[in-house]
Amino acid sequence: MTDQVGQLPTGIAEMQAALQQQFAGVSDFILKTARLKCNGQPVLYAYLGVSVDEDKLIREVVQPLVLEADDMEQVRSLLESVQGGQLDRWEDILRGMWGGNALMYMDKEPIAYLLDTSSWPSPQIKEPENESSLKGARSGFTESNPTNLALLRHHLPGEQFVQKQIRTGPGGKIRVTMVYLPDKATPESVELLLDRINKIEVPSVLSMGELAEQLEDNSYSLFPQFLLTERPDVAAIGIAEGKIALLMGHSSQVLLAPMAFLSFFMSVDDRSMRWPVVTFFRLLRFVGLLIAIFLPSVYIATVSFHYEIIPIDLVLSVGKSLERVPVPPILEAFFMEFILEMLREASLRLPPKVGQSVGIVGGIVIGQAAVEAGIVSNVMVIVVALTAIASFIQPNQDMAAAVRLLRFPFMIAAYLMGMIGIVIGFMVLVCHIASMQSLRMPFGSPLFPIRLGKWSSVLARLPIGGFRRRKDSER
Amino acid sequence: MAGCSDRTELDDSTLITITGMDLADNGKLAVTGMVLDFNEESPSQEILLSSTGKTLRENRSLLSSKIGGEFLSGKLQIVIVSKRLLKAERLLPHLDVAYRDPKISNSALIVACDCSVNKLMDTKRSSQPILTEYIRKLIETGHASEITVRSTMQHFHYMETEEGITSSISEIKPVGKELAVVGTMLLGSDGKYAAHLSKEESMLLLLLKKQFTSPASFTTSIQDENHNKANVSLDINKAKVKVKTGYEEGNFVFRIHLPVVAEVVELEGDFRVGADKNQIEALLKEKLEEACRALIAKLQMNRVDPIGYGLHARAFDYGHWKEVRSDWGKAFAEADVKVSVTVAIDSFGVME
Repeated sequence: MTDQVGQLPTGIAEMQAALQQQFAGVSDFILKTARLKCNGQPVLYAYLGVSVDEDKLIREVVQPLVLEADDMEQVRSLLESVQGGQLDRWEDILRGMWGGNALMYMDKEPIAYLLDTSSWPSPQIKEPENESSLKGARSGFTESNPTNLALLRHHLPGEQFVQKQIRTGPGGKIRVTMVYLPDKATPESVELLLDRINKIEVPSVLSMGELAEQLEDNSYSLFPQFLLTERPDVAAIGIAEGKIALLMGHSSQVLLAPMAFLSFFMSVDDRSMRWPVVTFFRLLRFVGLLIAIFLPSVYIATVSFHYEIIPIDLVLSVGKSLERVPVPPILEAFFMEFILEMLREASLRLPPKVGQSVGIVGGIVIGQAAVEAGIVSNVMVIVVALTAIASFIQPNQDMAAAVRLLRFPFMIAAYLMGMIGIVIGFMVLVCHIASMQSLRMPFGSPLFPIRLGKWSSVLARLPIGGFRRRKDSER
Repeated sequence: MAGCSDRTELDDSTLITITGMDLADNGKLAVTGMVLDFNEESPSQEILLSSTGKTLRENRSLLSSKIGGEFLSGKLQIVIVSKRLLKAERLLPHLDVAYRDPKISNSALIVACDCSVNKLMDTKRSSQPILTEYIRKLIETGHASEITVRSTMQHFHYMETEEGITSSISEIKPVGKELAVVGTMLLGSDGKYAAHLSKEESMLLLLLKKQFTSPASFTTSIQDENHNKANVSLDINKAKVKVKTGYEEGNFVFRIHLPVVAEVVELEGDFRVGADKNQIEALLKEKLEEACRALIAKLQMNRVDPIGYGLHARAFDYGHWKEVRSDWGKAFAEADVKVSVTVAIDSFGVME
């Protein structure tokens, strides 16, 4: 096989032998021969059955050649109209055939024709299940690139966006489509992202998350630096705002870059609901963020160091509840948090019908039995439950996961140094976010670097200003 | 700074909420402490401990030896001092440890009681919240309805160390199975017990101290046209206190003007509300002035100045203040204090 890398074999018999040798172990390999109507010249066509639309191949190519074409001119023009490329290199032919094209080879010709007859199973457009919204679009990205591009164009009607096909990785097996608006996206970001895509060295990338890891600025950080979304409306909004979208043919997720920390806390519903409601929800999410990170650690710090800040009515009931528990609050908290994370993970893996029972088991075991057995205190159950709820209201799953993980170091810091430990941890966290970048754009923007003018639009949502007053003549 | 060594798990600690101080028969300090009981099986939520020693700190060690867990004073809510101790000794030196240790709460209320502290704290009450909460609420609501002052440890320290003012603390007493606020206790310049103010006098004291939260109620009796006695109750909604300070013939002179805006909430007797308004106002003014004068006279007789006219004296006439600053109580007793009140009634209620 090694001698077949370069030039094509000449002669139809040699070609046939070479192909059969090459695809010896492939069960759906089909090779057929026919004769042209015009001069009786033998032609060979070969393809992989499952990825080729055989009907189309026969109807549009084989039949006209064998039954209709009157001279070689007509044959050539017919082949050129459906071709995926004229190739004279063996490795290109192989890649094309594995990629769903049919090969057509005529005797004594130095080149072969690749016919674009690929037909992949195209999944149905479904509602995105993992990013539900109340008022957003009901269609989600699928695992087919043309469908995804069509969805994007559908959501951005009339926009002339750049759509770049990039092949990267060793052997060019990773295919990425880059979509952006040339007048909105910053050229430096586009260039940087292109550069990073071209430098990918892993042979294959299966999911968008894997690709994101290859492209992100800080791979040691807990926080996602790109947004992965299944929602065409989210992607369209991002593109319209000047972000760059990356699509992969076999991934139903689209990557948006560059992102800022605070934009992970916005939901697509924010645009379609009344602004005071949205502002309230957005503040709720930020409060939820603080609760999700700090509540268990503040509780530990309070009962371990700063009992003074508990009101006197509460100190008695908290004290009574803690008295029964043999372990220090940190162990109690870890125990509960671990169980909670296990439950969450378990319900994720189980089919939905069984998943409900996990909730019941978890609710009863943790909520009641553990307290009655004196393993954990009542207050800790409340703290952990509140924390869980607060982390579940985050609209972005990647960010919510980061937040869930963050509270463990904070709990340790709280147990070692009390409130001072929490403050130290918070300072480290702020420094980390402030120093992070997404495609060399500041990740913490507009909080740091401080852009006061943008704060109101990020933390709250104000009404779309400047209602145009209708002229009398227009009434 | 907090660190690993500073960790005190809440359930391993013993939180003292009330410190009671009394004079023991042998002249030592008898301390009664109320600590929170975290044990779920025990029926009561608090444990009463008592000991006798030289100082508060020594007593703390004695108390803590009687109970397990680390003894913490960070949630100290109330300090109860008996009248007996206040009559015999100055309170401030006893509390020194509480001011010196930053971990002891300085927002605890100081309360005097006219009985043995141990007896007060051991009173078996019919169903009530924990004693700490009970006493604290008693004082807070008592202060809100103007029947006593509210002095925290911090404020007490100010009143004791400031020359121009003498201390005033709330006073409670067991009444039957319950506790009740009975008024205000005044300490003299020497820091010992000087006088007791009733609930009514306490209201006027708060009014003159500008510490009242409206409405402050005042009940008195006036005479109607037929010379019949008629009871009248006022809700004082707004009041200002204007003090003019002077010095005449070797004595300080204070002219206190008290414009009061009040609402009549109860009016017996034969009055025509609209026509007799001025007459009622004049009668009430007289009564209020009389009550204020009586209060000032009582203060002067006991040589105490809980309102803080010494601060005015220092601010407006420092030269003469310097001469009397060492014993302001005596100087205030000799001062010429005149009170004038104006009453403006803004409402007689919804009924004509």
